Amino acid sequence: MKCGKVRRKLVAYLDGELGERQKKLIKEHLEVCDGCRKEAEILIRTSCFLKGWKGVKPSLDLEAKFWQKVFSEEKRYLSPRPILKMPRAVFSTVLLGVLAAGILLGVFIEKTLSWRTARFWEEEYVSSSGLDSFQDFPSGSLCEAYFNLTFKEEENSP
Amino acid sequence: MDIDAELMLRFKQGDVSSFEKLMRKYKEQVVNIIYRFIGDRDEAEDLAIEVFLKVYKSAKAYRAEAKFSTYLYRITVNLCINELKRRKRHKSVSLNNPVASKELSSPVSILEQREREALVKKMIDTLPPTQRIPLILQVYEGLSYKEISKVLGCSVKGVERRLYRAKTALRKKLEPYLRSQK
Repeated sequence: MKCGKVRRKLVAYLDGELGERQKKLIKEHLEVCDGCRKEAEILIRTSCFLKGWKGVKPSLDLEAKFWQKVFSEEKRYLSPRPILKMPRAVFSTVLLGVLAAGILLGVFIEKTLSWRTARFWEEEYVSSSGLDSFQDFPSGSLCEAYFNLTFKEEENSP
Repeated sequence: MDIDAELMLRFKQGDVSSFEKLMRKYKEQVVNIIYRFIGDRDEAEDLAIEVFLKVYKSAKAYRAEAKFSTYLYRITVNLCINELKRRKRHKSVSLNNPVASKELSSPVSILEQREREALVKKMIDTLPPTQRIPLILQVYEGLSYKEISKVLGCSVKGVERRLYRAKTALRKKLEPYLRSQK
């Protein structure tokens, strides 16, 4: 095995991550190559130095803080929806009632609006045509002639 | 199936004490991974709480496909990466120094330890996150290359390459210091 390949595999070798065959080849190389052996020693010392960074002990109240957070989140998710706490039967009855009331209200509004719209257009027509009502026709118009004829026929009839 | 995955499945069925056991077992590891990654103890604890909260909330979707520790470390690593991205956006810098080990009693050894920890932290901080994470998992948590590959979702060869780059870079940076320590 050449030095370049050994050095590329040295980290994995020292971490104990190589297969038996590669491990044996590198071990044999290190026994005869001073340069690679020194490199291995420096890497071992680097690892030991890195391991000198001790960790920290978590605070004693870490778990308490966690459960506090869990409870506050659960409370936040549950509290703004009291409606969901209703029994299902009550909830569906209320929902049906609200729907029925909505439909009735919609029908009422629709009827009122359509009646008012009809009235409005009638008044618009009368005012724009200069008539006070449907019985007043412009003089000499076909409508007046027809109306007069009909009226006279009714008067003459026994 | 590993015992922790069993505990998680029991928690999924409603046994909260199983979750408490898991938290008690892993809280130190999770806090330390985050601490070594971001370098601030208080923030590390806050983020560790977030990690456990994620595990708690996603219990219903949990499937024991891998070891529980792999699942937990994956969540931890993702949170660390997100935190790093957030910090880059907001350019926040931690002013906290590494915390000295409480086991050391003499003031000189405390100072030495603090100095060494500061140096290690500084060196590890120079590594890109893609190398820093596998290094922390391997050196401090003792995970194998295969386990790290599962946590990071990459190949074992990829982990080997990243660790080779990380350790040779650190070796070069620490060499003058190591020589002076002879």
